Amino acid sequence: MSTKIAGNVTYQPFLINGTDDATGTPGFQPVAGACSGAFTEYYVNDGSTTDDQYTGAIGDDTNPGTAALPFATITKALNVAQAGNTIWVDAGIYASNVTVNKEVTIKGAGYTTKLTSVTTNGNIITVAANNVTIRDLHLEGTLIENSSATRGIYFNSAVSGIAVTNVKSSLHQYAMYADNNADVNGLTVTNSEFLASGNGFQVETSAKVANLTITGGSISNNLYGFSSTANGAATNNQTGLTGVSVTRHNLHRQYFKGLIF
Amino acid sequence: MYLLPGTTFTGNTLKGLYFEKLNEASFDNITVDNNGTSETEHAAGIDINLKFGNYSTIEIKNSTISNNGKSNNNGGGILVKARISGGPSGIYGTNPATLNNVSIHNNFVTTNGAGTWGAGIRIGESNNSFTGTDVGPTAVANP
Repeated sequence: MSTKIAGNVTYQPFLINGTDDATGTPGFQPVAGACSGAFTEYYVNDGSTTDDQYTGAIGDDTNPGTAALPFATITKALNVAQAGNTIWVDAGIYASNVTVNKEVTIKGAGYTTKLTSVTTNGNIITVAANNVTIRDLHLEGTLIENSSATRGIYFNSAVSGIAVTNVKSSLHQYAMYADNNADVNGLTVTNSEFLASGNGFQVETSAKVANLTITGGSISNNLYGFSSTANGAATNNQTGLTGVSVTRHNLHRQYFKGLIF
Repeated sequence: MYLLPGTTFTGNTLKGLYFEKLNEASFDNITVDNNGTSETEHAAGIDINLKFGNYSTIEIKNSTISNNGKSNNNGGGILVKARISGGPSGIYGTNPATLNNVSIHNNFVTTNGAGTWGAGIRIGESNNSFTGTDVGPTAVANP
């Protein structure tokens, strides 16, 4: 028999509401249908347990998404997650084009967590919510006769407070891309690698990116490194890239230019 | 404001850093080495080639600019110019650019450029093959 527990106890899943219909009786006797609960963390694993760090079984979207019984897809985890949740994506390969439309953290197990595109011209992660963190994973595009058409991280809406940490993004048209409708305020890129793509990070002509901080990491072996315009003849070139800080970063070995504003 | 402290630009074939629009930029303690290795015109470490507007306040300091633009006669370490003519069909003249308040100081600039017009630091248009008007930036400080 277990010893009596004193103090607060954290349960998972915990109830976020509910009614006890026998308050005079020790314990909690819920009124049927009166309770609902939620995880604060969800787990995803592919069909292999090789190199896994977070989960104890292969993934299945009919699972509850716990560490012991993880989901198989990030999409499923995003569907059930709530703002503030963390989605732990274990080592493996995930063919996935996801739109992150909730304030969540997607955390891989390092570069052994690899997300690939379902289509040859898709966006692997579209960031469409504030306060999204993407970290510790690899976004690998599709190489098509030296002309990849995928995007690793894609912005095309108004978002703020975005963090990209320890992310490797390779073999894309754009490893990270702010499209014309993007209005990104507060983008922090830390110790990340954008490489072997057309552009490491492209801010399109009409896009807005304010308060961008890049610290550590590298942009390397792309045609263009970090570019906000490549149209020398235009009179309406990019003006919405403001508040840029790049520290202890390496831009090297681009086929054309390292930094282009 | 653009700040790039401690950032390294190496081995980029045409240019390490290239700007057509740039205001209020401070490059402090950057390393720009072995860029512009191509024979393409104006291969460079830093090419500030401003177009279609009025620009000001660019500072490059405490940095190392080395071994850039060594394969082209118009190459160099730091090239600074505001375009007022030239370009495809003379398009730069339709909205001439200006640049005011440039400060380049306390840098280590070595072994950049090649041939007759190669330069460590070049302010204004290159002398080779340029037929337009060169007004250059104003208020340039290079103590």
